[in-house]
Amino acid sequence: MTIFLTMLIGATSFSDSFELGTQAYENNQYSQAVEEYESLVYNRIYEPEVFYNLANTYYQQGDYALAMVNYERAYFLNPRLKIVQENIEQTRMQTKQQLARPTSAGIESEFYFWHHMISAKTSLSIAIFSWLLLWFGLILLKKSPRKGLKALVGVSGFVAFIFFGSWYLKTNPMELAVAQGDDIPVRIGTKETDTIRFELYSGDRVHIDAHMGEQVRITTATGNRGWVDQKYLVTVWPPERTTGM
Amino acid sequence: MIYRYIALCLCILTWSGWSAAQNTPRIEASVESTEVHVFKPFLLNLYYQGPGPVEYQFPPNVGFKINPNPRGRSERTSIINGVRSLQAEYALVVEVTKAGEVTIPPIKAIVAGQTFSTEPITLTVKNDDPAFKYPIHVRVRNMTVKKGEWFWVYIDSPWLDKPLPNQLPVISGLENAPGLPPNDGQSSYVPSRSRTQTRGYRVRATQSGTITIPSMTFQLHQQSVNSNPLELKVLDRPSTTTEDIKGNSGLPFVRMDVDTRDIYLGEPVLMTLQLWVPKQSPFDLSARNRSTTSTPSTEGFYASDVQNDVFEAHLGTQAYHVNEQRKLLYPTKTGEHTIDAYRYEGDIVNRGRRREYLVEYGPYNVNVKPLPSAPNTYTGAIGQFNVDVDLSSTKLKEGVPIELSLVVSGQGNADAIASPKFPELSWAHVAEVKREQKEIKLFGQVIPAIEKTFRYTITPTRAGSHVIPAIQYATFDPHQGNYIEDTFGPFNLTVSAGDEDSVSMVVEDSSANISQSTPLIGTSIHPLMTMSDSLRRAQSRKLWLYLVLILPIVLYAIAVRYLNRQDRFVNDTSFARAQGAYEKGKNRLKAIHSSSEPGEELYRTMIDYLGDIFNINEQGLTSKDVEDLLEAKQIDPENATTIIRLLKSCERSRYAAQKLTDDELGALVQAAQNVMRTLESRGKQNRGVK
Repeated sequence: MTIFLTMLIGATSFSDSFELGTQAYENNQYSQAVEEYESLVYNRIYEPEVFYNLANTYYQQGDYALAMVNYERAYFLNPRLKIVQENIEQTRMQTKQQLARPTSAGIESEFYFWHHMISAKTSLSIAIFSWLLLWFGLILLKKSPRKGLKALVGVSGFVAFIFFGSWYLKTNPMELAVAQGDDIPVRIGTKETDTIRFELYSGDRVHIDAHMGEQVRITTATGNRGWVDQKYLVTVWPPERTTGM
Repeated sequence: MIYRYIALCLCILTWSGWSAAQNTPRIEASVESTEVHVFKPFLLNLYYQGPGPVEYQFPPNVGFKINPNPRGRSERTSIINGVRSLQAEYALVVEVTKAGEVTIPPIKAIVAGQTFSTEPITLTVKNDDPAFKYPIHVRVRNMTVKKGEWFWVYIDSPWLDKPLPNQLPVISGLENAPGLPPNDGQSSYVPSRSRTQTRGYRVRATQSGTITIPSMTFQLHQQSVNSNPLELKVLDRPSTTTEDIKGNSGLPFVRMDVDTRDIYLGEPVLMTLQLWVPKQSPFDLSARNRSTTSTPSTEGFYASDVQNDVFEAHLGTQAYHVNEQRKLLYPTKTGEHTIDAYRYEGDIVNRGRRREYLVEYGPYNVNVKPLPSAPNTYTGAIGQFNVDVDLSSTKLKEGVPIELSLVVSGQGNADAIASPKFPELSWAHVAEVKREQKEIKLFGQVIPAIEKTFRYTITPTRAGSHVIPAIQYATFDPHQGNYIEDTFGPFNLTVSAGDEDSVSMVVEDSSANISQSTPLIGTSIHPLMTMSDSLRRAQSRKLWLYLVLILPIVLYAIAVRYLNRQDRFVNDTSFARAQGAYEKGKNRLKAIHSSSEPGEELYRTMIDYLGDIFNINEQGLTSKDVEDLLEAKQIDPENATTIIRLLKSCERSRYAAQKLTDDELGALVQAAQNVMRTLESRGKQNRGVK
């Protein structure tokens, strides 16, 4: 009972914060709106609506880097929200280099090209359903072997395997980060004295593919690659690793 | 109600008619300029909009040649008001083969049995472009050669009706490389818009003075075309070479060759190394497995292997195995560089006497010249290249990206080819999205042709008439010793405003995504979202996920065990009897005290129990039978003795007048329980039951 009441009170207080944030946004009080939405994120309220509204608020403040980060988080949670995709595009148009999101590589681009519009939750639901069906089918098969049941077991096993894979890839995505700040040097090596290969600008999205101390190796959508100090980057997921909060 | 259906049907009919009108097929053909040159390829843009599928019919090639495989294409299928519509643009390569006025007749599109045509295009064809005076171009790298020294004669040509010959025709003063297989020549196909090929012929001058390679005639598009004549200056050189001497001696020897000794920085030198080993020799060469060849040191160059080959060849009457290596050497600095001698060391045995044998060829000096002063548009490409720019569409829509690609193809140093300086566009966003580089190596080819493509997406941000300024790209041709500057455009474009319903989102990740249609980019962001559900903390799903994963496996294991047990009960009598024996026996022992004949009942209980656990017929069993049975079943002696004693006590009470006292009966029941418990645990172990 106590737990239920605590949850209920907590839910009410979070909903209030969300409403307060929305009201502040509509009254053009963006700083207050940021506080309200950020408090929700701090309390691990990971809903696409929260990240989306937070991103909108940052956008209105002209902070396109944090807007991009939070739009990407909303997109991560629900890739089917078109308004999120469109706002990401609008934010991209505000950045200096207008770089695209780096494409996923390897198994995801080869075999899971179809799953980008399915959320992790959907993949997991289908996987679990198929998994239960698989074992239920196996039990029935044990009791009375039938041809149809064998097919059911085979199909459900295959579907479970595919969707568990999809869910795994979605919950362990490539490490996406957004540049925060302009003229960020990206070097050919990890040393400060290494030659600068190119520069990043606020809102540029990059894929992190290696870590070495404080340095991370990044790749942009155009294929440019180099090492950069991770203090200049805000990681998209998970949100608690964000330096901007 | 019926009126609603009628109204609905009318709406559908009206809408279908309007949709069909919107989807009337349209086909257009256009060229950038109607003034073209003989044999100089140009692009014909073919635009089609309407329902699919569509089949194109090209007119017969008379005075021109259309390559039906498009160089660039953009196809987009969209559904407008429920009707599927194809919008396609193709960039086709056309070559005109005669001067004067040439008309390209209509190109036809056949859609669902109906034919739609483009307007004919009339071209004014000139033949005053010096680069195309001789469509077949014969060249050498150095116009001055030494007598007796091997060098390469190259023929560059468009894709001819017949392939280039494997050897040059007989030319006075020139000798084709002896004994070399037909594929020893160089040939390459550069898949650029102009479809050129290059083949190299290895020859040497046999006389000093001036040698003329005369104009040769080839067939191109059923017409005779000539190559340029070429005059070479041949200097005197000692006529006896190392290879000639060794060639007659029956000994292994080496050959080494560089195709030029005077190059520009960045221009490669083709170094050929050959080890000739006689197939038959008066000497014993069996010790030659101890032989070594030392690759020449090439300081001042970085080398890349292009081809290794093994073949047989003849020199005079002597047959040889030839092991050939080729390397491309790229100079890293200017000045005089030395490529060391190619050396062979080994042992030969002559009349039982082993002696060391050493032979070498070279060294060569190569002079590396700096590049002359470069134009602003030069970004580093050195070699013989074709440069082309391709725009995927000239009909633009606000927010919809198109692709512009610049293709540099030919032979040269791929690493040195850098992207062009792209002009700033105030009305669009330009992003270089991809670079591609590939090598094309065909049979018989020595140096692979390369093709490097720079792709840009141009996303118009403002509607109206706009211009992509001319794109200039310079390459340095080391054979000509100067820069070749190509200019493409300017491109006049019309950008239509994006409509709210169907403006495409910029999907900028790859060119393939350009034609994907996804919803709009507005001018501002979308408003906030509201929450319909209450907000909850993100929960870790790990625990319940593990449960969900493991639970069905556990349930399956339980179900399998249960079903197996059920099966055994049905099919295995001994198992079924043994399973219930203990409980049955225990219950009967509890009821012993209330029995009128406890001794008899105890005896029967024990006999029944033993019958059940050992799956035997218990009728008529005596204590002696039981003793034998227990011994046969290897029951431990202590328990066996207890059971026998217990049965004998029961037998005595049955046949004696004296009944068992309560104490005696209690002790016997207790002993029987203990024995049953022991036998039950042993039986469980034997049955595999826990």
